[in-house]
Amino acid sequence: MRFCADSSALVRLYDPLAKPAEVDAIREYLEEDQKAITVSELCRVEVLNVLLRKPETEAAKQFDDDLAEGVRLRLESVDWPDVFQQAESLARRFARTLRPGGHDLVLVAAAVAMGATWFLSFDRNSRQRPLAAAAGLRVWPPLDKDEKGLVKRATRQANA
Amino acid sequence: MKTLTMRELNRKTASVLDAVERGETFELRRTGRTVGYLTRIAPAPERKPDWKAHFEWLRKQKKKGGGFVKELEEDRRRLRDRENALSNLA
Repeated sequence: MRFCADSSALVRLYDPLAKPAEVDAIREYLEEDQKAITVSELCRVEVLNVLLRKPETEAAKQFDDDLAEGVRLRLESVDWPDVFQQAESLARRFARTLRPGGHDLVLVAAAVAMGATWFLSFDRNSRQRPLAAAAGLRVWPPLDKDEKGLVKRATRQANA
Repeated sequence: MKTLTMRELNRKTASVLDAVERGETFELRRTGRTVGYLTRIAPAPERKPDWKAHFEWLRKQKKKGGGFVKELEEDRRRLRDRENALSNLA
């Protein structure tokens, strides 16, 4: 099984001020089965861009070291033209019902292209999580009732 | 991920290797069965991720500050605002 993380999950691994309950949940989840996380190049840049804003912390260096080590985090190259094609396909199927953002389309498409089974995301302010589920990925933390409803409606409409 | 038969690999070895070099991954099949993958990525290391050590490191960083989750959420809020503005123009 391959676990692909969105930037919203990755930054929580490097932010000592993140909500303790969320950090505890991630720790428990990752320690169980000693999961390794797959990271797309797009997520890497997005996370690095945030971590580098506070150079007094060691967060950016730690993130880079973890990627270089390739044990906890694994950076995966993808064929970006394929990813954009996949993103367009998702837009054609779900733009009307889910109204996802363009950035989310590409992030989810990259996870699909990397052969992810699971998509780890804490971004509940967008439609990224329901989009990932509609694209066939399993989402962690689990979708709430409203998100599940959205996925159901989007999938039904896309298949109609 | 693209699939590749043994015959295709024999016929187009150079172009397949070019694609692998560009970052593409192929599922290699023989008589309809997957036998392996051709990829630029090195096989996963034998070592298991030590998350306990990572979260101990994170706990020790508290005095140095952070706030990265808020920074990312702010970035994404700006993206959403931009897309909403575009959507309103349409």
